[in-house]
Amino acid sequence: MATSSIDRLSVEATLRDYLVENSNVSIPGPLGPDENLLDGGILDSLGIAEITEFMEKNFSIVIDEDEVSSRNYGTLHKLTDFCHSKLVDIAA
Amino acid sequence: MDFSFSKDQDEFKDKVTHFAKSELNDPNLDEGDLKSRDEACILSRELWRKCADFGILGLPFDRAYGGAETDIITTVLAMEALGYGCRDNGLLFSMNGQMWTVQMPIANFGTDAQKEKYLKGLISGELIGAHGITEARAGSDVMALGTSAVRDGDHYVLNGAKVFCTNGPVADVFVIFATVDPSAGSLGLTGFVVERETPGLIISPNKRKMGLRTSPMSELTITEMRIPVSARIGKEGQGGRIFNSSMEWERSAILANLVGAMQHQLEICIRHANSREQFRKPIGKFQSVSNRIVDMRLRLETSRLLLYKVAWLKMTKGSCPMEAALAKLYLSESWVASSQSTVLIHGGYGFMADMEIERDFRDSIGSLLYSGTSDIQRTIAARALGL
Repeated sequence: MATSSIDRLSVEATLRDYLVENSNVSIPGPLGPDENLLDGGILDSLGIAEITEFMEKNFSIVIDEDEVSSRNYGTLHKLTDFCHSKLVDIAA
Repeated sequence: MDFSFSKDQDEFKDKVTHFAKSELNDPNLDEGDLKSRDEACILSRELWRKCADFGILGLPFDRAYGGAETDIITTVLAMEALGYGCRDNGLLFSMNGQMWTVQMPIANFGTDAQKEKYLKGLISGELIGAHGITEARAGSDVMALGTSAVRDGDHYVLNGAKVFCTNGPVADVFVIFATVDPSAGSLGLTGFVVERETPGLIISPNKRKMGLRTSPMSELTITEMRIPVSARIGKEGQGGRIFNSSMEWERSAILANLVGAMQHQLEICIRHANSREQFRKPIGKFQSVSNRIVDMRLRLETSRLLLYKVAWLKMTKGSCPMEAALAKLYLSESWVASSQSTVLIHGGYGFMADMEIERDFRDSIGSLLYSGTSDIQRTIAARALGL
C-alpha cells in the first residue's frame, strides 16, 4: 500500500482482514471495531509482534516499541486510528 | 563464511574451562560434594561466590555495575566452557536464571537507582536474585497470568501467587510480573523488583524436583504486597517486552551450557568405550556402541552450529525468535538424547548414582520444559512459518 493512501476505511478493512485471517483463535461473527483484541487472545503476545511487523511492511510505517501499548492495540478502532495517524503524519 | 573465533575469544574460553574444571568440582566444600548437595538439594554459595569473583555473573553487563561488557558470542562461549568444565548443572541453571531474568531486566529496563541498588550486588555475588512469572494456571500461556498490581497513590498493591520460582528459597531480590490491566492481555504485564523481606511476600521452602536439585525452587504467595512505584521496572505494560528480551538471552546462554555438557558426555563415552572390554574387545568396536557415539557427536556438532548462529543473529540483527525457538527445541532434546546415550554406554554402572552419570539424565529432562517447552518452541516456529 502506498503511503499516500490514507483512507481510514481502507486501513480498517486491511487490518480487519489481517486479524480474521491470522488470529490464533477463531473469531465468531464479524469483528466489531470496539471488540477487545487483547483479553480474548485475538492478539496474543506473538500476534502483537506479528501485526506490528505486518503494519510496518504493509503501510511502510515505523512503529516504536513504546507505541506497542493497549492504548494503540486494544481494539480494531484504536489500531486503525493509530495506523491511520501514522500515515497522515507521513503524508503531511 | 568463517567458522573461527578470535584469538581473544579462544583464550577466554580456555580460561573459563580451566576455571570451571579446577574450581567448580571441588569435592571438599563445607557444603559437601556434588552428590551430597544433589541429594540434599543445596545450592553451593561457595561456588556461586567463586563464579562471581571470576566475573561470570557480570559477563555482558555494564562495567559501571561490575560487568565486563562482553559481546553475546563471547558470553555464549564462556557459558559453553562452564557447561563443559562444571558438573553442577543446577548451579549453572541458577546462575543463568539470575543473569537473564533478574539482572538483564534491571540492566535493560531499570532505573539508575535500581541498577545501583541491585545490579551491583547481583553481579558481585552479594545478592541472589529470583524471577517470578509462572503461575499455576499460566505456564506456557504465561501472558495470561492472574497476579494483579493495582496503583494506589505512590504505591502498587500486588496480589497473586507464583510457582516454579528458581532461586526463590535463597533469593534476596525478586523480579515479579503482574498485570496492571487484565483487559490489556500481554500489554498489561508489568515488572517489579521486590526485596525478600517485603511484607506480603511469602516464600515457600524448596520444592524437591526430579533434576537440577542443586538449583532451589519455591512458590510465592503475594498478599496485599505494597511496593513503591519506584520498584516498577520500565513502564506499565512493558512486562511482555521485558520478559521476551530475557527469554532470548536465557535461551542462548542456557543452551550454551548444554553444548558444553554434551561435549563432556561425548568424551567420557569415548574413553569408556575404548577401555571397557566385553567379548575380548573394547565395546567401542561394536557398531551398536560406536554408532551411538557417532550420533552423539552429530547432535553435538549440529547443536553447536545452531547455537552459534542464534548468537550471531542476535548480535548482528537483534531479535531472531524462530531461530532461537528451533535452537532451544533441538538442543534441549539433543541433551536428553545425549544423556540417555551416556547412561546406556556405561551400562548398569551408568544407572548407579555413585557413577554420577544418571544425574545428567535427570537434569536434562528439565530442559524440555524451562525457557519455553518443546511444544511452545514448535508453536513459535510454526507461526513464524505462516502455519
